[in-house]
This record gives sequence, C-alpha cells and structure tokens, in this order.
Amino acid sequence: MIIKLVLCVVWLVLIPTVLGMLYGYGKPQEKNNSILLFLVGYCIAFAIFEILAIPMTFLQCKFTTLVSVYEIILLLLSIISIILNRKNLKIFFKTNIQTIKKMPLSTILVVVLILLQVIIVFRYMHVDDDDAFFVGNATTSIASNTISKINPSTGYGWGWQARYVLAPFSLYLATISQFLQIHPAIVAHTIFPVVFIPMTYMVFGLIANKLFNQNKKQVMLFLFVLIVLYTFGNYSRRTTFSVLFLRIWQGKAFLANIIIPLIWYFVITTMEEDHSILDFCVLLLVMISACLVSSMGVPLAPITLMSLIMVYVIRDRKIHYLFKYFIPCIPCVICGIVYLFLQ
Amino acid sequence: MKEIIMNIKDMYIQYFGNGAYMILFLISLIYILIKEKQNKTIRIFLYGTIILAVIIFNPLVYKILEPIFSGGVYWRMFWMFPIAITVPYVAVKWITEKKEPEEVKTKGKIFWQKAFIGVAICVIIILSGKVVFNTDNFEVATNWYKLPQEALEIATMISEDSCEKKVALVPETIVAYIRQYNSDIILRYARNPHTYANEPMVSALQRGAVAEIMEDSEKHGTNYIVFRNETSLTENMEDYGFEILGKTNTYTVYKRKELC
Repeated sequence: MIIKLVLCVVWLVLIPTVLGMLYGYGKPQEKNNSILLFLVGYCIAFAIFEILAIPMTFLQCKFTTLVSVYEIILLLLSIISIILNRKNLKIFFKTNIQTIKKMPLSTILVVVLILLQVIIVFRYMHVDDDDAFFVGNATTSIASNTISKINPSTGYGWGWQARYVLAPFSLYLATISQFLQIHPAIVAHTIFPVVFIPMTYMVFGLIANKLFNQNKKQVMLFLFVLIVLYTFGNYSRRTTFSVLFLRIWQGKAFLANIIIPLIWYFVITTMEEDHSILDFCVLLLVMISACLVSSMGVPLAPITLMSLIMVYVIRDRKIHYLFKYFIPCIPCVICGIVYLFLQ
Repeated sequence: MKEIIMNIKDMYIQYFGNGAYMILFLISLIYILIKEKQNKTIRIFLYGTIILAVIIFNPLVYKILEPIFSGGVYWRMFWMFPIAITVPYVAVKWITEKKEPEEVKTKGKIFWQKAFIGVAICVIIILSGKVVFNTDNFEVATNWYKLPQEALEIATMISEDSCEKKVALVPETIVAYIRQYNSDIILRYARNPHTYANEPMVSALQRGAVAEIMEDSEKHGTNYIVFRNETSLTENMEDYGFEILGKTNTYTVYKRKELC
C-alpha cells in the first residue's frame, strides 16, 4: 500500500513537476513557480504520449512496448531536467516550502475547501456508464497486450475506431495504471480525481494571477467564488462544473476543465510583451494534449484558441497573428484529417 | 434551417437548464463591457465570448460539426464559454470595489460591507444552481473500483471460475461494469447509451425466454448467463446443462459446465 502511494506521488506529482522544470530552465522567471511547472509538465507528458501512441497503434505494436518506451522517455527527460536544474533544486524546494509555511488564511481556506471537494469525490462514487468504454479499454489493453484491436465493451475484435485511436486517453490511463501497479478502475475513479480536481483550480489560479496583477487576496477571493460556482453548477450534468466532479477521469471532462482553460492561459501569456518562445511551444503542447484527451479536442481546442486570437487581430490590427497561431492548431488539423480519412 | 435552429435551442436548454448561470454570465459580460475598460485581459474574454457565440449559435457550424461529433453532443461547444472566468472576476470586483479608507474607524464598516456583498454574491450563485454533491450523483463507495457492488461480485464470481474462455450474457443493468473489472470476460452484447431495442438478448433476459437464450448460447459459446432473481424463467436452466454458479441480492449466475 505504501509502495503504491509512493509510486502515485512519484508518477503523478514529482515527475510532471520535474518535466515542467525543463520549461523553468528556459524561462528563469518561472523556475520556482511549482504550480505552473506542474501543469506544463503534464502537457509535456501528454504530448509525448500522443506522439508515441498514435503511430504505435497504426504499427500494431504491443501495449507493453508503448508502456516501456513511454516510461524510458519520461525518466530520461526527468534526469535531463534534474541535471539542468541541479543548481536551482535547493532554492526551488526552499522557496516552495517557505510559500507553504507563510500561506495566508485566505489561501488556507481555499485549499481546505478544495480538499473537502476532493475528499467527497474520493470517499463517494459516481457511476458513469461511459466507463464501459473508457475504463474497459484500459483494462482490455492491459489484459490483451494490444492497442485498440479489441472492442472494450464486448471483448470481440474490431477495426480501428477513429475517435478512439486518435484520442487514446484511455490508453494513457492504462499506462499510468501499469506504472502504479494499480487496477485501471481504481486509478480512474479514485486516484485521478485527487490529482485532476486540484489541477483545475491551479489553472484558474494562474489565470486569476494575470487578471488581478498577482494580487493574492483577489486571486484567493476569485478561487473562493469559483469553488462556489463549481459546487452549485449541477443545474445540468453536462456543464463543465458537473463533469469535474462526476467524471474528471474521462478525457472530455479533462478537456473542458483543464485543457481549455490552459489554452486561455497560454494565449494570454504568449500575447504579453515579455513572453518567451517557450510559452508558444507550451501552447503547442497544450493543443497536442487536447487531441490526446478527447476527439472533441480536435475541433474545440482550435476554435477556443482562434476565437481569442481573432480578438487580438481586431484589437491590434495584426493579421499575421492568424498565421502565427495556426501553427499550434496543426496537430488538431492533422488529427482531424486522419479522422475524416478513417471514417 | 428551422430544424437546426430548434436543435441548437434544445442543446442550449439541455446545457443551461433554467438559465440562471447564463444570466450570471451575461451580467458579468455587461459589467466588463461597461466598467472594465482598463483591464485588457478580461476584455479579451468578453470579445472572445461574442466571437464564440457567433460560431456556436451559427446554423452552418452546427450543420458541419454535428454529424462529425455524432451522438447529439453539440452542447459540448458550450464548454468554450469562459463562465468560470468572468463570473468570479466580476464577483471579486464587486466585493473589492470599495477603496480602503484612511480612517481606521470606517475600515470596519467597509469590511462588513464587503463581506455582505460577498455573501450576497455567493447566495445568488447558490440559488441559481444546484449542488453537485447530492444523492442523485453520489453514493457511498463500497469498493475501491467504485463499481456497483453486485456487478463486481458477479464479475469476480465469473473471473474466479475455472472455465478458460468466459463468454457471459448479462442484463443491461450491469453490462457496463463487468469488463471494467475484468476484460477476460467476453460479453454477448455491448453497452448502448441510447437503446437496447436492437439487442434481442436483452429482451430475452428480461422475459426469462430460456429457449431463445439457449439457441443464442449454442451459436456464441455463452457459458455464463445472469438473470435477475425476480425473472420467471420459461424453462429450467438445468435441462440445458446449466447450474447455478452463485447468487447476489438481485442476480443469479448460471454456468454451463460443458462449454468450459
């Protein structure tokens, strides 16, 4: 049990953060921003998985091959990140521990409320029949050591299903469950919400930081109101608010609550005067992540991105933004074309 | 065209329910339009929302994207609206609008005014919505997998049985859960989110039509059949070589030894 807990912390928290430090290495002003690095690290991990999983699916590789290659790449990148950031590691930990120690009451209140939501979702269960496919696909991949060859709902063989081949988030679930040595149903229903629910608030916290010019009190007040909004957003089960608590382990819920807000965040960031080319690269990784988590990401991510960019185009009268920001949309366009071809 | 507009309207109603959150969203956008002329970042979300609305409510966009989405999920386009940005932003602005006075004796008054506004805003949000943590959405987890306990028991029963190849016919009430636990169990039919009208075995299980089920079982090598306990079977399963493998509160699991 303790070993599995340690594996959870390593694979779901530490490694994404260390991966994110690659971004911090290139953008020194953010090198101690653990929340941003954590989120960027996930984008890196997702993008790598998408780039690996799709060709391996078409090449009919074994599932264990995908797991091994992914594991090696993540570990290698983590080692590189630690080496590059070795001089800053002590300061990084010290800074973040100091931040935690000096947390004002408003921050503690927000953290407690988020923890309360996480505890409820951890302790109670919401049964969603879509998991027949999503979790079933993860369990099937592990048991059969194949990728997308077997209908997860029945166990009989089937041809490539474009929607699922190009958005293999259930494969990601299977891979993580292999890393953690925990059953995919447990990872999806019990462990992923513990990580993904706080991640959602982290993204909005970063956005709020920009909106309120890093005024901590206003940021915490923003998050407090957001918590209330999310808690009472169940007027329909289809809202972003509902799906966060009801099925965040499913790619489409992750898209709605984390990927789309990350697109908002990185559009704002890349439009700032002091932005780095790395921010633009991360935006590209976010768009690739959108393709991984859900087939809905293929149209929704570019529409989200370009609708914001249109505002800048009109405001600043710079048509070249459209061409510049088409680049991060290319992964979605490619997935869209392949999807139509496979249909 | 009229049909498309009606479909978009239906999607809107399905997504926004009574519309209270949409009203909050619109109020926040109007506030940003009128009062937040200096904050360029938040105004990006205002104008971005207008562009998104033009796209999402556009019948031509609906006509192109709806067939691609399949399954009537165009309402997911509403996920792009930045409600979670603008509403809390405006709430913060309202709460913190009052400037901090220099005199100490009025600071307390200002604090309580801000607190009142904050509470009022939260009450408005609470009354506009519906709490997600309710008994319709959640129940106490009885296992770490967070699968219905009986489905887990049945899947475990079949998993631990000695047959090498396991093909199971189960009621539609548990078909979505068996393979989440163990994908070595092949299921006769897949879970369908819409209807089981085209699955004759679902109806046969509900009616306890043993002969029909046996005919299908011979064809597909089904060696496990699960009935609800309340179902009256038209014939004895034992006559066809099935024996009871186990029972739960609601279901009985039959196994055919010959096909192991």
